[in-house]
Amino acid sequence: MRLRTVAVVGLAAAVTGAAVLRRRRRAAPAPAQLGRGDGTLLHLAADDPRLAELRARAMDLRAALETAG
Amino acid sequence: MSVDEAISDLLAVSTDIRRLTVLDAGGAVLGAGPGRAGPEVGAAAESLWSAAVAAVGRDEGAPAALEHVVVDLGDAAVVALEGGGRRIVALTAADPPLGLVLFDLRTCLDDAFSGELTPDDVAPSVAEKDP
Repeated sequence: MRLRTVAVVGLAAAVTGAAVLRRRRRAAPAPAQLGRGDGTLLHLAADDPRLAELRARAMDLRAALETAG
Repeated sequence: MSVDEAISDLLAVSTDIRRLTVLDAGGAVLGAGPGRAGPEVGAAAESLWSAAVAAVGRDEGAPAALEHVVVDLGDAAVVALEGGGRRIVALTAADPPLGLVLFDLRTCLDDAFSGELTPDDVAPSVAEKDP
């Protein structure tokens, strides 16, 4: 009986943990998001060759914003 | 509401936006906060925007005009948004709630220029004067 309870609790914890991990993975933001005027979005994945260029220019903009003041 | 007031209001309510600058169509600074922004912000914003336009253009399908760009930098994110011929750029905290940040930036732009007349507002009165 006790073994059965432990097994059920263990199974429930495993299922919950897997669900949380799945949700976190799904919610992870894309490295870059481009929104068009018609409401459509283009997400650039980490291995997208366009991302390096965007990141470099975003770093420049960040530096410009941070030196403001 | 002035540009500076709209920026102050946004910085007062947003816990995600650290710095922002409002630019005109030519990239000139119209307002910034906290503090002032130099012309380098306009140049850097234009550089990011053109790279994003090129990225969208290379995507398949017929792309509509770019409306916003968000680039995650790990410990922060850079956001640029265009509306009504103006641009607003912001530096946010890490992993910002994007929907909320974009809404706040749009609202700031709208508030800053809500009192301005557009060409559409002026056109009917001009037409009425014509015989």
